[in-house]
Amino acid sequence: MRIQHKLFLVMVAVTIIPLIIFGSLSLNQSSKIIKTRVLVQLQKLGVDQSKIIKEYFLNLDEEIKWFETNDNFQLYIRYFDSGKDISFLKSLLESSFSYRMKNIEELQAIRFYSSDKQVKFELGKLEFFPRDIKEEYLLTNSVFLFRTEDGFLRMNVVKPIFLEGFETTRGYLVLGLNSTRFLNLFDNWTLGENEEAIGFILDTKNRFFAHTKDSKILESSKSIDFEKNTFTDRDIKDKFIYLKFVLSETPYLTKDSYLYAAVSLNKFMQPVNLLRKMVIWVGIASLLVALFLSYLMAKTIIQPVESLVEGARIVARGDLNYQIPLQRTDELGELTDTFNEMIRNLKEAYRKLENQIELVNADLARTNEELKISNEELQKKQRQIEEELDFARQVQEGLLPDVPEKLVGIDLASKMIPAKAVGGDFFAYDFDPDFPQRISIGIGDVSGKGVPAALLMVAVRDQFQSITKSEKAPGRVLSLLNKSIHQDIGAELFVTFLNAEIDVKNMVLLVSSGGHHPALVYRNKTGEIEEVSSGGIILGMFADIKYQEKVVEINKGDVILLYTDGVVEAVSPVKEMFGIDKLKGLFKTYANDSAGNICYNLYQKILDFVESTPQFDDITIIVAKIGGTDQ
Amino acid sequence: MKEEYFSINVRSDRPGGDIKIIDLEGELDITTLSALRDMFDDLYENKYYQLIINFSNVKYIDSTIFGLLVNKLKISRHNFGDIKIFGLNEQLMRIFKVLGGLKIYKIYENEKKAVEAFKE
Repeated sequence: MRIQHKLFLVMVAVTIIPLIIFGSLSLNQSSKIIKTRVLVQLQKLGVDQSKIIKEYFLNLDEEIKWFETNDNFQLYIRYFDSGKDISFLKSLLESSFSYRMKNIEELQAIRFYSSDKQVKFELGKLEFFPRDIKEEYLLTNSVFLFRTEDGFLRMNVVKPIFLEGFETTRGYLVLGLNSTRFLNLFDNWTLGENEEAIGFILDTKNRFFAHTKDSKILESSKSIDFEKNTFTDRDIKDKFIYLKFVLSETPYLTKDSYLYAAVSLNKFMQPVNLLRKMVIWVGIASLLVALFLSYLMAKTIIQPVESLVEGARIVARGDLNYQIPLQRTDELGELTDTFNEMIRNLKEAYRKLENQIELVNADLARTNEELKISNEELQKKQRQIEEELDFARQVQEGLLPDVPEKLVGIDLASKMIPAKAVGGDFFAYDFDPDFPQRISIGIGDVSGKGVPAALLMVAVRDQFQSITKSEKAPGRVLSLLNKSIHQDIGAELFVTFLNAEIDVKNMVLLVSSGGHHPALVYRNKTGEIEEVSSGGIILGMFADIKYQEKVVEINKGDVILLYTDGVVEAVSPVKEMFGIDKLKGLFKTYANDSAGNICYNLYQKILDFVESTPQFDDITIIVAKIGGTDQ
Repeated sequence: MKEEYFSINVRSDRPGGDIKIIDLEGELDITTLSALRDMFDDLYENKYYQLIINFSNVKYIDSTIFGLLVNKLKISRHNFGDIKIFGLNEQLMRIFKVLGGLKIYKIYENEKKAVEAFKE
C-alpha cells in the first residue's frame, strides 16, 4: 500500500469515524431529549383538555336532565296507560321541542324509537340521525358521533324513556345535537411554543370518537377505515407520540373511553431528521477534506521522499555524479542536502580508492611478476630436492645391509619401505665370519621424518657399526651409542633402538632396547608369541644411561620378529591402526614358513590394510628363523 | 584415529596458582608440534615450570610429540620444576611404555593427585 493511501485512510479514520460515533450518539440523545420534552407537554395538555371535555359533558348532562324533568313533560306522561296510542308523546315533545331548543343550543332534532327499534316519530332535521339504527347506537345514556352523508360529524345523545302507565313499553329518545361546540373543544391544541397538537377520543373498541379538526389527523387516518370509526393500536403507535387520559367518570362516555393527546411522529422527527441530514453532509464534506489533505500531504512529503528514493536508486546503480534537485527548508530539505553531500563524499572516496587500486594493481603486477619468477625458481628447487631425495633414497637403500652369506643356522630376511623418499628407520648387522653362528641386529627409528631424520639415521647407523667393532654386548653397545648421539642430535630429536644378538651356537637371544618395540619371539613348541625387551628409554635424550640386557633361550623353529612403529601404526582408509594384536596374529599364521615368506606375507598384509592411504611412517620388518647348528 | 583435530588449553590449579595444567585434546602429531612448542615457550617465558599435562582427551601422539615432551621435561627439571602426567589411555600408555616414558615421567591417576604431588 502506498503511503498516500495510508494517509488517506488515516484521514478518514480521524474524521469520519468520530463523526459517525458522535453523530449517532447525539442523534440518539437529542431524540430522547425532544421526546421527553414533548411527553411533558403532552401530559399538561392532556390533563387540561380532559378537564374541559369533562366540564362540557357535565354541563350538557345538567341541561338534558333539566329537559327530562320538565314539570309539564312529566305531568303529561303520567296520564297514559299501557298499550295505548303514544302519539300523544309526539305532540307533547313537539310542543316542548321549540322551547327546549332555546335551552340546549345544540339540540337540532329528536327521534323516538320503541323498544323494538322502530322509529315511532321524529322531530327536527332528519340528517342528524344515522340511516340504519344499530344496537350500539342505542346504548343507554351514551353519546356517539357519526358521519353523515354530507361528510359532517353529528352527535347523538341517547336517553332511555320509561313512560308512567306504559310499563311494558320502553323506548329510546335520541337527541340529535349539533357537534360544533363539542368539536370546538379540540381546536387550537398547542404544545409549548405554538406547536400543533392533536387530540382524539377512542373508546374501548378503539372507535374513533372525536378528534381535532386538524387536517393532519384526517390525512393520517386515511389508512383507517373511518366508516368503522376504528384505529388499531399499531396505527396509533406508528403515527403518533401520545399519552392516554381516562375519561370514564364523564357522563355519556363509556367507562373505558380515553382521551389521546398526541403529536404526529413525522412532526416530532423533523429536528432529528434535520440533524441526521447535517451529519451526513458534514461526513461527505469531511471525506472530501480528507481526500484533499491526503493529496496535499502526499505532495509535500511523499514526492520529495520519492525523489530521494529515485536519487538513491540512481546512485545505487553507480552514478555518483547525480545530485537530487530538491530545494526545501524543512527536514526533508536537510535530508536531501545531507544525501547530496554524502554522494559527493562517496564520489571523492571512490576516486581516492580508484587511485589506490591503480597503485595497488601496479604493485600487484610487479609482485606477480616477481612471484612468477620465484615460483619458477621454487619449482626448480623442488625438482632439485626431489631429485636429491630420490638419490638419497637410493643411497639409503644402498645402505641397507645384505644378509651375510656366511651366516649359519639363521634364516634371515628383511623388508623396509620409507615413508617420504627417505625415512628415519634403519637397521644394520654386526657379523663376524669367524663366528658364523652369531649375528647382532640393530634396528632403530629416528623421531621425525624426511631429510633431518634420514641424516641422523645415517649417523646413528655409522656409530652403531663403529661401536660394534670393539664392543659386542648389546647393552653396552646401546649405552655407548646413546652417549655418542646425545652430543650430536638436537634437543627434541631422539632415537629408538633395539640391539638383538642371536647366538645359535649357544641357542640364546640377547636383547637390549631403548624406547623400541619389543622383539617378538614365536615359540615353535607352544605356538605362542613372547615379547622380549630390556625396557630401556629412548636414545639421545639423556647422557650416561646404562642399558640393560634381556637374555632368553631359543630353540629350533623359533622365529624372531623385529619391527618399527610404521608397522603397528599403519593406518587404514577408515583411520584404523594396524596394531600389535593383528601383527601377532599374522605372525603366528605365517611362522612356519621361511623367513623370506614371513617377511613378504606380513608386508603384503600391511599393504592390503592401508590400501591407498598415504604412508605416514617408514615400515621395517626383520625376520630371523632359528634353524639350529645342524643347518 | 577417526578425526584429525586437536586443542590446547592452559589453566591454573587455582586462581593465581603457580601450577599450570595443560589440557590437550585430539590427535597430536608433527602437524601440532609448533603449536605445542609455542605454548611451552610462553609458559617458560613467564617462569612457569610446574606443569601437569592432562591426556584424558588425547587419542594418539607420535614420536615427534614425545621428543618434544621429553625435551620440555628436561627444561622443567633443570629449573626445579617438573612435568607430571595423568589421563593416559591404553594406547598412549603402551606408547609411553615402549619409549621408556614410564621411567622418566611421573604418571598420576588424576589431576588432584598430580597437584598434591607438587605440594609435597
